[in-house]
Amino acid sequence: MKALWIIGAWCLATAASGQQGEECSFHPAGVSYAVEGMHRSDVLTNGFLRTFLVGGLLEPAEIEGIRHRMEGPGEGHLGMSAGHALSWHGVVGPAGRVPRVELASRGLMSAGVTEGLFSLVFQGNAPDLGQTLDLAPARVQWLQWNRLAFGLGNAEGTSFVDVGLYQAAWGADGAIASGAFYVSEGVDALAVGMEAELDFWERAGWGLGLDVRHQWGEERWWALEVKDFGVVRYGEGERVVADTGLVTTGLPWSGPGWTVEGVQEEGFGEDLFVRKRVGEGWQLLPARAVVRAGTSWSDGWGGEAAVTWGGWMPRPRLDVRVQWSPSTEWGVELGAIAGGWGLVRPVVGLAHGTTSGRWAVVWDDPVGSMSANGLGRGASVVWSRNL
Amino acid sequence: MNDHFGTWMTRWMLGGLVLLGLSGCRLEPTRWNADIALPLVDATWGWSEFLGDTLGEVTSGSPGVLRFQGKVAEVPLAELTLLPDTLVENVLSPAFAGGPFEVPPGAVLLDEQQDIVFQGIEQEFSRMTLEEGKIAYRVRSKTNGYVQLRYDFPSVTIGGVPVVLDVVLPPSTDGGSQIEEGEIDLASATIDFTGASGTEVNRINSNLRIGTPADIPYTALVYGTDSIDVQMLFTGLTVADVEGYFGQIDIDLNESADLFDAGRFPSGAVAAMPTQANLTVHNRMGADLAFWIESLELAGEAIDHPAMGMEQVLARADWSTDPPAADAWELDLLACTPNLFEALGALPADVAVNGTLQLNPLGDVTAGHDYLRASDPPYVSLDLELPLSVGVSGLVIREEVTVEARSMPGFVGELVVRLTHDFPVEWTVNGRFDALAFGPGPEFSATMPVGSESIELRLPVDAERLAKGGTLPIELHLDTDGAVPFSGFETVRMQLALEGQIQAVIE
Repeated sequence: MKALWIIGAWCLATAASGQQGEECSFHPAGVSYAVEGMHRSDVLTNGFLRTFLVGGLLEPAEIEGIRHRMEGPGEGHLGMSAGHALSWHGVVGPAGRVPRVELASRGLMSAGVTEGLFSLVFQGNAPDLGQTLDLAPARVQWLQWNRLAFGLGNAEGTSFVDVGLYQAAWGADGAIASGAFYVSEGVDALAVGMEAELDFWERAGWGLGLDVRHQWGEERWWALEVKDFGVVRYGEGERVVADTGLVTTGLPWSGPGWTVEGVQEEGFGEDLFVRKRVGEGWQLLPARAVVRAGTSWSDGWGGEAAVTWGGWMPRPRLDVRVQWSPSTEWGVELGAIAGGWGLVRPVVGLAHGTTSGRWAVVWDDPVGSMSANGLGRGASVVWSRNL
Repeated sequence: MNDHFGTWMTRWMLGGLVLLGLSGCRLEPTRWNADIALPLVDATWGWSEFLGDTLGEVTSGSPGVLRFQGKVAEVPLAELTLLPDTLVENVLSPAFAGGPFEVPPGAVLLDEQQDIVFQGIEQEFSRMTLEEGKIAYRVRSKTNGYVQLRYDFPSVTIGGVPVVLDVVLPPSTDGGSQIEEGEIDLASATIDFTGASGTEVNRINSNLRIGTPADIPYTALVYGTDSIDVQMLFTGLTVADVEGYFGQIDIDLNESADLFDAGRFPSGAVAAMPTQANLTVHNRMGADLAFWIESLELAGEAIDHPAMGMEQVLARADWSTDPPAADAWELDLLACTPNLFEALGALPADVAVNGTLQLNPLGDVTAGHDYLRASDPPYVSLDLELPLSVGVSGLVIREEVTVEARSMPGFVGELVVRLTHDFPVEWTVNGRFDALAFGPGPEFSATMPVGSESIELRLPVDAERLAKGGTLPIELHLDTDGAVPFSGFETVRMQLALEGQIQAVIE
């Protein structure tokens, strides 16, 4: 039994370093457990997020810095996710296929706001008198789901098809479709308008989705991956719709709508938004598509690049890494990630294989993670072993 | 089970997210400061706001000329346009005791023509068209058999069709009653008030028929204690037009009206003289009209006129032409002693008129052919032409604007008062912000020169003072060096804005 562990670990290590030999033709069953979590932004610093969530005074200089970063693109984004997955694969079957089972949970939040909305909320409108603050487009999406997937793959685990049953436990989707806020330089005219909608549901929804990967080549390979491609039928929930507009040089005294008398009357605000129950509906899962390519060089060196689209990311994400395995037990990698919710940042990884299993840790932006001025943190840990 | 699993997993996931993001829990509220600048109030006062919004039309020029030509009052004639409610009740009881007596289908118990007399009307109406009104009816039967009731009103027609009430009541049992209630809408109905004979007044022809329905094979059992009760209430009758003899109605013309509110115009005098000021009484009624103006007073001061105290008679309008030929009587207000407009320049608080108006002072000279269309009562019109060359002395105008309560936690800043005007004379203004929770604030004062840019004043305010709102009373002072030509389009504008810093807090 111990010999099997040694063989399996060695196979896994050599596969990671691209030195898998033809002599290793035995593919035992295996199990792995992965945990990942991250928050990433192209404008919001770790210090800002920490203060916002933990409490304290958000310093004007920090807010101004964030707004300065938003000036170019005119918007900023934030993504947060956390998840874990327990996977199992069996031995190679008669047709050369390997059965696969995975039980996973994941939560994902993606938000994007305009510079105008951010500055209106965190700086007020006084710094922007005479300018129109665009409040749209802005969107927040949040989904938490659990997944039980069954599939078949090849012996190396490089190509597979998994069909997953999804339980979307909670979700929300809100957007400001159009909106603007304007106060004249002389503070004698105001114009504001907004169309916004927020849906959220409380009852669990169910659905189906696919994870597919197919790889071409071995030493120099490329692969196409699709993850979480499917839909869920979500349960009942609530919808809040706001559609309001006001143009004034000061509130008039009386009359319908926005007046000095009207805003003091009970129930005035009820006209500004509509809250209603909504029935079941369909929700696309945050599917991702990945094109990945890799190569192996001599002396344990390898390289890999991937481009990822979707997953609620505002931009495609490019991921480039160089890997080195100095021994059969150890592997390290160094690379860079650009796009997604964030800017360009480094990524490092470390893998260690033993007779009791293999650990792989990837740390996204290790320098920025330790700094209050960093733009996010992220890490994943994978433990796997043969059975 | 699934929901439980989902809830558990959700908590697990959300907990993970929070742990990842926070690396701890919330230790204190999240706070940040935001600078805001918001317009609150925009108030503009022009000639119409100062002196009322029915002044009429101002023509451009220097000076502008204020012209008013139009109706200023109508003579109320409720006696002719509102009819009192009239209740008609018929009770049918057998003229015997005991029973029962069998009454077969198709039997007639009562068939009677009636003239319904309208009560409480002093005039002698022969015809009218209603603006609105209704008949509220209630039919009650205590008869053990089907009862058919048909009430015909040939004198009351809607679109040429007589109004009819046709009711069938089922048998009442065990000594109870069968009741049917309802309404007949009489809007736009025409009523002939000459009765069945065609020569009466204030009465309408009707026919009431009570019996058993011929098409229901049911033999009624009638006892001496049975009864059938019909109530018809003519109610809410308002007149569109009416004919007849209206009588010699006397109407008191003791009217008064507020002019200049002393609280708003506490002091000052205005000198302006119209080139034309005629008051005209018009009679578009088909009835003669006489009136006497006994007195006219401005703030208790008597104003005399050669026509006062004399009987003025206006002949009836001739409605045979289109438009009807109306008689009119004109009063030149410039002939008043003392001068009416000099008296008005002292900004009197009220005006009072005493007099009497009488219909048909000569009696029934047309043999009952008076005519009134309710939309054309006698009225008073004013024809005024006033050049806006106005001298003002010590005029003070008080205005007040409200700053509504608003929750702005942590706000520290200023209430910005911005004043502009385009009058050809200098204004001075003083005022203060009275926060409801704190009382009067410090006063401010400013002069607004002719042709100046806006005057800006800044009053310190904070969250506590805004929390309950307040008022901003101001006084506008105006003096002119003699008569000054105005265009009539001048305005004073006051804008309030809030500028400062709020502290947003997330607990």
